[in-house]
Amino acid sequence: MAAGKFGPASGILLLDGYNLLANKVTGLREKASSQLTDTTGIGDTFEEQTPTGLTTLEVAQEGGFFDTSTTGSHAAFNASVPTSPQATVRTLCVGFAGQTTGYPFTGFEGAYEQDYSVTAEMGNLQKADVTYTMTGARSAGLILQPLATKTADWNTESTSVDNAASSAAGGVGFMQCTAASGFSAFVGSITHSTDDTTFASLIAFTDNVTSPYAERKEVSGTVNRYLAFSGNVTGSGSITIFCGFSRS
Amino acid sequence: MSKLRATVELTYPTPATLKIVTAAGGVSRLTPAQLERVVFKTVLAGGSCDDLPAISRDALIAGGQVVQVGAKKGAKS
Repeated sequence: MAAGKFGPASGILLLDGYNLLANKVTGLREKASSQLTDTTGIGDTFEEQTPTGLTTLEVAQEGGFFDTSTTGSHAAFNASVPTSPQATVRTLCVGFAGQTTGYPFTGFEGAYEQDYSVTAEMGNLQKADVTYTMTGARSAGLILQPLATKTADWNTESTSVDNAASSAAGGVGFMQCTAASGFSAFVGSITHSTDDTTFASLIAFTDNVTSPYAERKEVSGTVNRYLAFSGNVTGSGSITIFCGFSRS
Repeated sequence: MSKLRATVELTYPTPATLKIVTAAGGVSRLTPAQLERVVFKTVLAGGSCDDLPAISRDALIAGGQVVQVGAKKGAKS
């Protein structure tokens, strides 16, 4: 990965298959807060704080247009503010370093859209702000398939992501499909290899040809040194896919 | 000699084009021109993969992605 600074063009915000940057979000924030407890005692001369081990995660998007088109912000948010303990969590991927193979992104295990705020004001277009609160883990990973449209079978083995060594504790894959048409089947897979020659399936995502769509899938055990993405389509059409993987 | 069977989907260069990949040092090191010359084979889970590249064989067997079928216990495969 190229080291350096990144600008607004390098943001990534994908929720349940919605590419929310299309709504011209002007602010994107990911915040992790460690819960600390005061452990100051008699004899201490300074306050002492100790982490409890709990972390609070929050992602917020600001200033995006309120958009009622099929894949716009209103379709993504209007029905999903959680109203019951059984509310469905959402699959969220955020990035700050661009849509490039091997570059970092963060996926979230369970995202609740806690606040959805639409604002109208004179002299401006309506805007929508959203705050997501997480109910699960934060998975920092690397992009295997930058968001791109494909019309035939493909894989990224020629641009595989090299971890320099295998890892033993499994990981989690995220796939987001922002657009699909025509195909009668599509199976996306994360593949891994020990030698950059033979690639074996590691995670096979659910066969899906609808959009917007997203899936998070965990795997246990050894994850080999090289990782790639493979897309297998049936029929003719097009599909727009993002995929990343986080090693545990 | 035992037969090799894939337990997951595998993709690897065919024996005829493997030397291009080996000479380059891996699939990700191929130039676009070399990549066009390499023919890849996909074997679905349950399929025979006797022509698996030798350099991949042991790691895939150890990882459980390939199993040997018809091997006698204690016999060299």
